[in-house]
Amino acid sequence: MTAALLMVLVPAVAALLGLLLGGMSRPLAAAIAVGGTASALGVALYLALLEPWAEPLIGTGFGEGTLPLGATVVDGLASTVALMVCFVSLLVQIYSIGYMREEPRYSSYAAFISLFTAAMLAVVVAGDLLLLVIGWEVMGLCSYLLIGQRWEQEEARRAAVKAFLVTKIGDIGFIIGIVVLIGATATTLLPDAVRAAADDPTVATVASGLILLGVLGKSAQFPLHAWLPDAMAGPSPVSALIHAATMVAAGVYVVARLYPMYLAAPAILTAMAVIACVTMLGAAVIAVVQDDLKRVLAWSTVSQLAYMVAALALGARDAAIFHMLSHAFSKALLFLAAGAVIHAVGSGALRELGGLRRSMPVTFITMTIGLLALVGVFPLAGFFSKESVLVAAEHAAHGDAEVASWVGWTVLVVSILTIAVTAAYAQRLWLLTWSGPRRDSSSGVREVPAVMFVPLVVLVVPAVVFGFSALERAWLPTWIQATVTEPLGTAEALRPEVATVVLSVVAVIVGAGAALVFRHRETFARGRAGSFVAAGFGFDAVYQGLVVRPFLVVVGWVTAFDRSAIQRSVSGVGVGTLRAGSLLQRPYRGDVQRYVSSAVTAVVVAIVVMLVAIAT
Amino acid sequence: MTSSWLLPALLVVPLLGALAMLLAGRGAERWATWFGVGVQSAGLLLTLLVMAQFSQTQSGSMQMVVEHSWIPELLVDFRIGVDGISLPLVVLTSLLGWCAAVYAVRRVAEPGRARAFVGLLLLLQVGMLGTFMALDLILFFLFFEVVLAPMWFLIAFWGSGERRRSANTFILYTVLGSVVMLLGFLVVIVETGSADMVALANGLGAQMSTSAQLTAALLILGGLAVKTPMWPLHTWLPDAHTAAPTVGSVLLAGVLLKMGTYGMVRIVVPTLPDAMVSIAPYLAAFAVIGILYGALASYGQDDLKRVIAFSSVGHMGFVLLGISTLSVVGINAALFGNIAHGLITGLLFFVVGGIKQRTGSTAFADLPRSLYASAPRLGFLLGFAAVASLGMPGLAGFWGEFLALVGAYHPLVPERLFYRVLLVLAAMGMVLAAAYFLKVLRRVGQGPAPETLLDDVATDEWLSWTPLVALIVILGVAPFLLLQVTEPAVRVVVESVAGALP
Repeated sequence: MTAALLMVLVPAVAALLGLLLGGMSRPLAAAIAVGGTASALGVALYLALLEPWAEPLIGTGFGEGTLPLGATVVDGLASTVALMVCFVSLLVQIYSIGYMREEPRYSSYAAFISLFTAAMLAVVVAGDLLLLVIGWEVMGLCSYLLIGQRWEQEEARRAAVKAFLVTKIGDIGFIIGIVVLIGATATTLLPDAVRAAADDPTVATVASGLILLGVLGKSAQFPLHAWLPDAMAGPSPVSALIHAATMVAAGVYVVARLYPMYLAAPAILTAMAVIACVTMLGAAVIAVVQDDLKRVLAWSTVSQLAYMVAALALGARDAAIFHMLSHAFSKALLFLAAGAVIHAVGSGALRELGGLRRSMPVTFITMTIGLLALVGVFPLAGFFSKESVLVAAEHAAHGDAEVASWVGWTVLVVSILTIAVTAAYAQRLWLLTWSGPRRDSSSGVREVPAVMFVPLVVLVVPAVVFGFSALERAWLPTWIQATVTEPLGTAEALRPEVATVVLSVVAVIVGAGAALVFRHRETFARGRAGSFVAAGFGFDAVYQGLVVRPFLVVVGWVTAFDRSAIQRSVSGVGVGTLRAGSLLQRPYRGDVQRYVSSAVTAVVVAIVVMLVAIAT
Repeated sequence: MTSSWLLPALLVVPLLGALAMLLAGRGAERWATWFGVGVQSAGLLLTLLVMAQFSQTQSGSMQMVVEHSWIPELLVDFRIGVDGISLPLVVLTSLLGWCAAVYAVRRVAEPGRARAFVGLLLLLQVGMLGTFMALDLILFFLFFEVVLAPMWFLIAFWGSGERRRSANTFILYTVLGSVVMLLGFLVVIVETGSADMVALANGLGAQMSTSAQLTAALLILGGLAVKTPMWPLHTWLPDAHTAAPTVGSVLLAGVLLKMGTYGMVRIVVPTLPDAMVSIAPYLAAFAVIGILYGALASYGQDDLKRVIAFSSVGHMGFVLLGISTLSVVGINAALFGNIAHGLITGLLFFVVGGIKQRTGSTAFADLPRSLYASAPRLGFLLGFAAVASLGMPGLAGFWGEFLALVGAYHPLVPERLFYRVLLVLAAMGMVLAAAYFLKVLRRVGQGPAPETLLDDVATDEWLSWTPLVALIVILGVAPFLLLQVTEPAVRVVVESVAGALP
């Protein structure tokens, strides 16, 4: 057993124990969940300290020969992402002890989060494509279970099914892509399959295009993004997990993991860039007109993930992973802070918030830092990571990437515009939540308990300092090298450049300024156009029309057909044959004895015929 | 150590048990179900011995073969044995038989009559085990037929709803199928002068002319396809399931359906390779129609048992798709899918039977919502079985379907492009399966908090169901445990087909 597999199995076993024993007592359930995740974090730290970026750790699976399963690879990319996953998951588990205090089904909730962590870690260290598929799909299941945690509410039931099915639609592509990859390269080992596929442009294009569909689902990119905003029906810590450590990060990670194959498919990269541009700006605009704290953050995630997809499309994997990590810290922080606000106020509706600065000082300060990091204000992590994406776009615009230079230009322009919109919705969110007339203590709103605010404070640290880690080539850029599939030595420092810094600072000022200027116009009453935008440009209606309704119509056809046509015709054939076969009887519907006797007669006649034939 | 008594004993023990139940007096009514558990436990123990004796390195050849000349004038021999293809199904049958017996101890369906019930279950066991062990075409047919009568009685007397009509539809279809199959066997026997399945598979059958092969293959496949059931011959299945008592449904879905696909791999593919190569693409097309049709029809049902019945049509479609690729991966997938479907659908029908026992119905309209709250453990098991059935990787149901897709990428037959189209359609079927199971869980499991609680899973139910849950997980995380048993035997089968290719 490799340490990497151990890291996956520990939280998986914690999930199993939590389900079996967690019902006995809450503290036990919490101890199992936190203990399992903390142990996984320990193993992740151990793996990272082995300097796997220099020499990948390769573990073989079980069952040599016939469908081996469980091969692992750990390189710098895997170990760094695993560290982030375990870190955020642990904070989410600790925070949940406080947030889910009143929850009757806490033990299964904590167990599912452990399973979610295990599944994500399986994706991260997967050295064979089958382990990757297992982790990938189990994550979809966990998101379904956790979004539907409060299944007494119709909203949660619907959102859970939607999350599962929308991502599953993408997974048609994902599964077929994996089948093609295995079929065309005749191996299930990930490094071998990637190398072989990268040498064959046709296979690379087909496989990466199909797998991309799954990625769009998991990472909530257009047109498979619609599940993520609804997923906020789940408890806030679950949102923090889905939006930062698991699920959405998995899509981006898988592209990074299979990157040589993607680089061999420029057409797919171009498609990714276009999708990323549409998603980035569209989701940010939608976020501006949301009326719910968590919904703003959810659309913001969709938009920020598009930055990562864009960076991947432009050949800048390191920038994509850099932004994924920095966004994970700030978004986990924001969702946990939003959870604290909801926990204290009892609602996440923006019109019911405001003036909470004094009563919730820790949440106020940490959420403010999280928002600044999200917008990308110097010197917070988001500034550096977003700059690294902009620099990649600028380089691509100058023809320094696999894709055409117009792609680089487009990404650059859209990214800058999106920064302005991001600043606007972040500023608006901040104003509506914290400023305004101060609430006195009689409102009953007070700061959340330490078990909830300590994770916030802990998350502030990486949200503030993480950005500096990419300034030197020997730091983050080296740590996240994918030495399993590529030689070491291609790492470059990710430093901001003057032109993009100026542009993005102007964008932030314009966006935040606009939100400040229009702050008093906020009425929450939207006209037709506003409602249309707030409903995600009416995309759900498109889904209804193009997917759901046709599906139900076909279901209706098939069901009706099965009840009538086939039933009658096949029964008719049966009865007709029997009539011919028995010759003597006249069986009719409902007469038991005659049915059976004619059937038996038929068998006997057939046997006699056969015996006679053999004997002669 | 010779172990030649093991396989006959596996048949004789339940047969004697069934006879004992037939002869036992009224006083046996009290201990009949315990007797059933005893007999099935002995059978399970014997099966474990068979597993221990079985040489995995030689799973490609028949082991523990027992031969007795029976009716030499008619070329009929009593010949049984097991290899890597049949052993897993023998184990599955023994296990499900045991689970059914344990379940029946406290839960014989109305109207009781435990002696007859247990006797029929044991007779059913003889037929099922015999089918998987038979190495002679006529013997195979006889065992195949032995199964019908007990199942008809189980549905017609212990069933519910329109039980007589359903039982008759069941017998009508399957007897018709058997007759057609028998005619096919007849053609093979007349053409080759042998009913020895091993000899036929090892080249004797391949010597038949292509037209004779085609005739025989169409007849035999037609018969087996009814049992599988292959679309559009599936219409007996939903009615039979809806009416059958719980253990009847479990064995029907868990074992009886596998007799069809087993027969294809055991008999048709190796014995009639030339015919199979030309029929395979059509079989694949029917398989994929079945996958999509089963899933779509499943979504439209308003009864839990009917949903699961149609889901079986879809799942067996994947098994048929695997067979139709004629490739090592594909046929392995089919055998894996057989076992996985037996475990998962067996569990599903057990759980649904539990729901029916508590609420009196399986129709959505009559079921209270929020089983998760009113009986959390039962709700969990329903959720678990549904998730396994929709093909969640990490549970047994996934591998059969996934490997069938891999097989379809590289079919042994020349129509590659056609198979790739089918591959895409079949993959869409996997998503549709998710849609109807989530619908079921949302309708039955989740809802506003209930006013009354139901009895949660009882000890005897746990005892009966836990082996299935455990195996679904074990085969899900370690599929190679099963694949390494079937693989060598499948290679032998595929080699016999490879020779038939142009």
